[in-house]
Amino acid sequence: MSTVLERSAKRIARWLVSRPIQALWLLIGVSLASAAALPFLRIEAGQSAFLADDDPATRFSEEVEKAFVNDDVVIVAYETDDPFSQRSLEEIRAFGKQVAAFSRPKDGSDVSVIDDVTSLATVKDVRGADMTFRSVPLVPDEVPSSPAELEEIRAHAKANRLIREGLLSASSPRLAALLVRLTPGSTDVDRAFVVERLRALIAAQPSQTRFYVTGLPVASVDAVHYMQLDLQRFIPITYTLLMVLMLLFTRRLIGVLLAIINATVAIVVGMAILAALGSLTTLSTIMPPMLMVLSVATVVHFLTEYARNTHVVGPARAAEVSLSELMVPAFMCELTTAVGFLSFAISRIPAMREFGLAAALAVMASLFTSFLVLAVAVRYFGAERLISSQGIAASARVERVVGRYTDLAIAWPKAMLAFVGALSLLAATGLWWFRVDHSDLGQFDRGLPIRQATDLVNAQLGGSNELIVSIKTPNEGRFLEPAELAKLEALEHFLQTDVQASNATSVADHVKLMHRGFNDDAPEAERVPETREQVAQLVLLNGDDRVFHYVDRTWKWARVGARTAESGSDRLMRRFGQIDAYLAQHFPRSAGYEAAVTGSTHKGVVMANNILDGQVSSFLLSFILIFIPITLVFGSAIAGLYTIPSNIFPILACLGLMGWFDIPLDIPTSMVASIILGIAVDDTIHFIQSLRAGIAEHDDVQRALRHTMATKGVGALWIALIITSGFVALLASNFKPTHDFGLLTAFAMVAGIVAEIFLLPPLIIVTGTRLGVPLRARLAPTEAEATPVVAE
Amino acid sequence: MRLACLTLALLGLTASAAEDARAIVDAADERHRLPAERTRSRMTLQEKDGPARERVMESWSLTDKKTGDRLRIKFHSPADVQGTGLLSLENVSGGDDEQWLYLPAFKKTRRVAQSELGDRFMGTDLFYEDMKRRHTDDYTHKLLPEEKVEGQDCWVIESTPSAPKVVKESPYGRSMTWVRKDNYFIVRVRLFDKKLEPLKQIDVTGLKKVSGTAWRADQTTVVDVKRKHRTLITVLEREAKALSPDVFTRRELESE
Repeated sequence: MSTVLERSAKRIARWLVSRPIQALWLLIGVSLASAAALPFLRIEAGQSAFLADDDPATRFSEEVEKAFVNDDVVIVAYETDDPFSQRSLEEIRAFGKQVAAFSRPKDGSDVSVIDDVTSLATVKDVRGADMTFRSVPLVPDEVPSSPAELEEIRAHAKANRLIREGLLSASSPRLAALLVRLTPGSTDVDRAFVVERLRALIAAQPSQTRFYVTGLPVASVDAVHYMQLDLQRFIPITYTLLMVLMLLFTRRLIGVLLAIINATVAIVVGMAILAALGSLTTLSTIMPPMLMVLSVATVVHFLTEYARNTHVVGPARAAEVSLSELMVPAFMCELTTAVGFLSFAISRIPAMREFGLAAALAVMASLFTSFLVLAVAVRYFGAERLISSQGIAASARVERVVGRYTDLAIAWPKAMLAFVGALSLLAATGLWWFRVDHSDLGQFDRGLPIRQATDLVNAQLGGSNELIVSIKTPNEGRFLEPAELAKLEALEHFLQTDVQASNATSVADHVKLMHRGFNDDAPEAERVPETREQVAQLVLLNGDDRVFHYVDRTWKWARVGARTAESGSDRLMRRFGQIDAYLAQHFPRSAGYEAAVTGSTHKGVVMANNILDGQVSSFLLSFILIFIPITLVFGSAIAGLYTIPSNIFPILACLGLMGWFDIPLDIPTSMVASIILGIAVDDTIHFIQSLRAGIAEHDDVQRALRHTMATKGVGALWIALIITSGFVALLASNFKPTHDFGLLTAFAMVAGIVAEIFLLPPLIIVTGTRLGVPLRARLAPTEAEATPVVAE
Repeated sequence: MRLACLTLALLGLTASAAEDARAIVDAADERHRLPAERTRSRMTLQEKDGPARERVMESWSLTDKKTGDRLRIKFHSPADVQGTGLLSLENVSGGDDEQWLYLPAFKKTRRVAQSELGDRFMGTDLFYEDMKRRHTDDYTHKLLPEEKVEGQDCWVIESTPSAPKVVKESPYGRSMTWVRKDNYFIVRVRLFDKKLEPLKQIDVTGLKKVSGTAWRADQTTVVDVKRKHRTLITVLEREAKALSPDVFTRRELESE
């Protein structure tokens, strides 16, 4: 297998070096075609991309939404001197009217995107007095100016629990909310339209009122916006870091330019692949910096070999030999990286599948374009123009340090292992605090307006996430029974106390308010009536469709809504568990109930859990997919086995770091393990392959180790530094998970080097392994040919 | 049945021989009026793909320009709303109409101040607005190209609220009405909300001449386009006979 690969590599290298013009045209053609595809790259940040196509939670949520109402609600909190002043009520009424009129062109006509707007100025109140029952707006058409009348409105609002808890703050008399419900079946485009128009409208409002906008639709829209900003930040930061590092490494501007051109082509081609296979999501924003560093790593590998081969085989053959020697290990490395990404392709989540496939293909494409770029470069520039001997000399100083370290590792291998063992133990201890958590609203940086709005609404207006409970029965009219309404009341109480939700609302609240109104507003009448007939007749009074947000028209299916300040998937999952347990006990299937938690918040948590569960499978799969071909290509299970510990260590270190520093495992960080495995294993491949070649040549493990550490150790340091720089760029992200992902992968690269240097050499010395290389005396000629896979 | 009649006639649009929209609307106002009427009908409320719910009710109506129109409705089924009654009295002096609701389960009558004309009438697809007699003066009317409905030639009239009070209170921003040319009966109405998006469509079938020039429909279908909900009103019995004003009192309303 190896000889076939080597022969193919030599042929390709010869072709590339002999036909640089064709390589250039091919490069230009691929780059232009890719650039032409970039405008078609879609950006997607809604839940839909992260929900499994066949997810039962999604289907059920859609069924509930269809039967009742869309729970896509934008919460507009506003702070003013007094929400019940004439000025504020008039302003909010005008504001609400303008929002309710939002419509966008669709299929040739303007279609409304707002289902309803609820505010103090539009909400209805039920009142009774002097034998009159009235279902009236809380605020009359003409907003009164007299303080007494305004106080009366305030009193009515506070007397109505649905208004008090739904629109007012319990802690701040200056704060109120306006709720904007989107039409059923709203798309990401609708959400983007609403949020953009809403913000434009807010910008035009008088300065006395401060507005704060949050809610899941806003989160998905802002995610797109900040993703774009992220990309605008990542790319220049990565370019800058790479330029600095490449300048330090090569000491040649042409060398830097080569790396930058290669990185640019890799991004353009990679993004074109993403455009063809999927869309840009929070996951795939990591692709540009990742492709940049991987492509630059290939340049670093090549320049090292090119400079060395210029002295060894002469300038005339140096390019071809270097390309030929680099091709197989580079292919193997990119293949393992691609396999790491490809493991995501088994996910049930569309966004993960698309990302996995696109990233895998993009990594392989970057290898292809890198060789085209290198072939063109060597046609015009000799090694000395691309990399300075001073740069190499600088590396040589590091080589001497590495050499001294190797002597130490050979002399004290057990101490080294004990050191790594202690580090591993430290990392493993961190796992005690390891937690899984994802939050759509909490993912934003604390300085961003949406995060501030979310924090405000969570702290003072009962929460920004909706909890929905659906209770279905087979009997028409079942929720007309007072006993059933009492059970809904009890569920609301449970949600407000045990689950710490707020504004729990069911049809029972509407019935109670109608009962109170029908009894001349007597406070003691705010209760569920005694008979089914009373309930049935009272609801005939109801003319407000909003009741049917909570019960279907056959009265056999109820929906209970509440708001929660919790947004982390971990804590929400525990809340959902509590609710499920309550529902199983009080609304059992044996009694004909089908009760379940649902809604966008639930869907989001299920989505996060699906993704996180999928990561375990992806990681296991990538483990198998990466190590099996390595073993096959090395032709030795022992050699394959020795690549594992130094790649497990950075993963363990990362997970431990997450535990120690309370970085939760969420969607982006859950990919760290597979990605680390795919990238960190590259150095191990180079290392083990060099070591095996050395053992085969000198029949002396320690000598081979010294040689490998001296040659590959320095290269590995540079590569780690370059890859780390790419992930360091992610620290500039507006999203905390992406920031954490950058931190963890950068840390993992360092941990990978630690393992490469502090774990692998002493492990080899202590175990005395020859990495599957037979003793030279016993080596048959045919086996000897087959042993080295990757030429150094 | 008064309700079915109201559904159409109260939209403020009836036909006349004149081709001008306003003339059609004005002249037809008298054509299908009956001084008094009693109907028994079945109201079927149907969700899209959902089960149907039925209500049987009886209604009495009196048309009197001097004292104002009167309407009484009494539910006979389902059992849990049996005996529930509504009494509606038009105020010809310009004040608000009076509506009284009797709930037998509480043995109490309450005046219902439904200030919101866009509120639904007793869980149906009709609004309280639909239960009021509309005045053609409050609208501007426009004749659109003629169309056929069920093979019958019809005028199509577009009406838009023009009186400030109606513009403000009506849930409708526009309506389109199909008036049969042969008998001037409205056979279809399309109603649009204030954003001028389709809201409801009303179709009638089973037309019968009941007295003189007056026609009635045996079936009225109201479809809420947005909610995908349908109300079907089927007339089971109809009588056009004189009614005593005593039928329209609170005492009668509370009789079980």
